[in-house]
Amino acid sequence: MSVVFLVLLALALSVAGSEVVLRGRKVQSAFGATVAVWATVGGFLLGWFWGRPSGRASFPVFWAGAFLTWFGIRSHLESSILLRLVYALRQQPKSAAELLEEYERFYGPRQRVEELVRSGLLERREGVLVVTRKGKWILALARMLRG
Amino acid sequence: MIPPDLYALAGAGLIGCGFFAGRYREKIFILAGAATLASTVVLVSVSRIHAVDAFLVCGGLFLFFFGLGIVRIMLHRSASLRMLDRFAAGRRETTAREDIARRFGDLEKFRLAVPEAGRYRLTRWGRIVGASVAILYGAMRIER
Repeated sequence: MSVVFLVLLALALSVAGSEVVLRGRKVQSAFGATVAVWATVGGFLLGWFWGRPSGRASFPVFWAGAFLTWFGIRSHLESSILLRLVYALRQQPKSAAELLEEYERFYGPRQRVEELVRSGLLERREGVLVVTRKGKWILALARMLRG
Repeated sequence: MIPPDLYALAGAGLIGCGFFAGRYREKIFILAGAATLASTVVLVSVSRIHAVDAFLVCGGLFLFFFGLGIVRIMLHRSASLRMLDRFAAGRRETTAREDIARRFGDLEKFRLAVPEAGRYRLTRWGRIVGASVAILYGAMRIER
């Protein structure tokens, strides 16, 4: 039981640590920092588990899965259009036009482009926005994985 | 006795293959993941490995499957990724209106809201989701 508690504690520590390094930024803008937090906490725990029959592969699979789950939920929550629409409808019913306007005020194309620039996926060259090498690499990976 | 690490490696490999093979069809990914998880739970329970190892193997594979499932949704639905795609194709328009408009259909499809006199009204399920989102936005300091 104490091992399960230790793992849960490490998960809580990683989630809290990630929130600290995010400092209000979106997770795609601070991806490297959050990976560092999870790798550090996971690294300590891996040392602890190393001698167990499940320490060398099961724990890394567990930790990778936990990170993917956290990253997916966190990223989905902050960027999901659908969840934002539901959130906007909490107070009162709204028309499609009102929802569209409200959403674009919150995270419209301008903010989205800024976020892509901050993440290093887009850059301004002589006043024109172009996809960076990192952006091209991400796109190639995404195309391969989504078919 | 098969070492627990082998279950984890084989399971993660199978789920990973299901993720790749199921990139066109969601069902393939879900079936591959569910079958892997179910067979791992059965194998682990009959092989009498320590409870901690069983927790790490089964919990780890579940999280791996669930995490990849969310990543799959992001890959298919991300408006930012679509926008980046448009920039790469040389199209400079930055609108996400199409993506937003598509979500109006999802509001109804997932029974989160119903149209009523030209306006969307949350269903009971939608109100529960909305309240949960508000709590999570607060906890994660997401701008409201």
